[in-house]
Amino acid sequence: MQEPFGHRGRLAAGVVLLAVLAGLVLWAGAVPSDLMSGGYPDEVDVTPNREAYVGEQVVLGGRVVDTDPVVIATRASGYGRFTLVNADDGLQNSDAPLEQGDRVSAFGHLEDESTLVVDRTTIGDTAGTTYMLLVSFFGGLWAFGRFARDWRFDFGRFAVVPRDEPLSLRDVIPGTRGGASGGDRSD
Amino acid sequence: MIAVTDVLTHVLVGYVIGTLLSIRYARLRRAHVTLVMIGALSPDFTKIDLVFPDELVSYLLDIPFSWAPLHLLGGTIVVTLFASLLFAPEYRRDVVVLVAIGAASHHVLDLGLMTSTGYSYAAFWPLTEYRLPAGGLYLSTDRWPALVAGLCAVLVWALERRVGVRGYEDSASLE
Repeated sequence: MQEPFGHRGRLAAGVVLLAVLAGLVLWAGAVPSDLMSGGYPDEVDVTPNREAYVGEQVVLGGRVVDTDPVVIATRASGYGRFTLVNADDGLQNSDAPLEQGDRVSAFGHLEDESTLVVDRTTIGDTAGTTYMLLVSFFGGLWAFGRFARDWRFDFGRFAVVPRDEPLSLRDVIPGTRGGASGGDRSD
Repeated sequence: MIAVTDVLTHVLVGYVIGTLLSIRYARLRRAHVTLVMIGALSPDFTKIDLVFPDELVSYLLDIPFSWAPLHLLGGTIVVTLFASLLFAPEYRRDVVVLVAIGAASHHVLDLGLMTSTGYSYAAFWPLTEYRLPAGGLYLSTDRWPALVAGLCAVLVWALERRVGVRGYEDSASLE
């Protein structure tokens, strides 16, 4: 099939789409709330400017530094402390009470400048994070590996086209297949 | 806290959906299943943020900046359309449809995540900043979503082999 609007048309469409994408990332940067989360003020907003958020619903992420009562530090230095009221009752993903060193995200309303009355808490999982990064890496490797096996870039057409058969390791490691190598030598 | 499903689960779900589609529609081959898998992880291109954080780009360009749109409706559509342009014209329609199906599955999974606020992300931006209530089903650090998705993947893989291998042998062209 020919390019419906010629190569110029294709290039123009690509440029327009990239311009739209650039517009979106700049626009999103200017949106006051964090689009990737629930949109409530978080510890980055609240910690340096507590009095402005008293009485509001906020979400605070941090590390537990004390358990009776539960106190979290929103800064790695151990500063930015808030006391959490009802943190254990609102814990969503664990039955055990919070312990020192746990990473938590607590949502509730800021009663005064250092007290958060908690509705819900989620607890982080360090081992789980390592697991998540590891399997995410392999997930990406699998998908992109399959893509490289099934599709190829045709320089003649300057476009991605499917391979006639999936590329195998024998095609890329020299000396493991006699004669013509490369699963993409069909045209 | 990172509120995304792990990439492996997304890719496995993409494989399951793609393989089921290939069983239903004989025209679709292995390479098409791969497109659904790529689509299923495509919203996580937003993780480029880990290498080039919003703040860094914002500082360098001296203008507000956020990678978030890549993981929201508007950015997903633009990325899908742009990706389709990289393909030869006869494959573009398939690329758009299959990548979009994969991307939709990504958003469905991510909306099921547990958050402390009880709300998910602004999935429909820039149409609206409205956030759907979070599904509260799992965290990105949970293991069982990948296990369940892996089990489903093995099942559809076996099903596909029973139905008949629709590989490269029996369909010479995609058109």
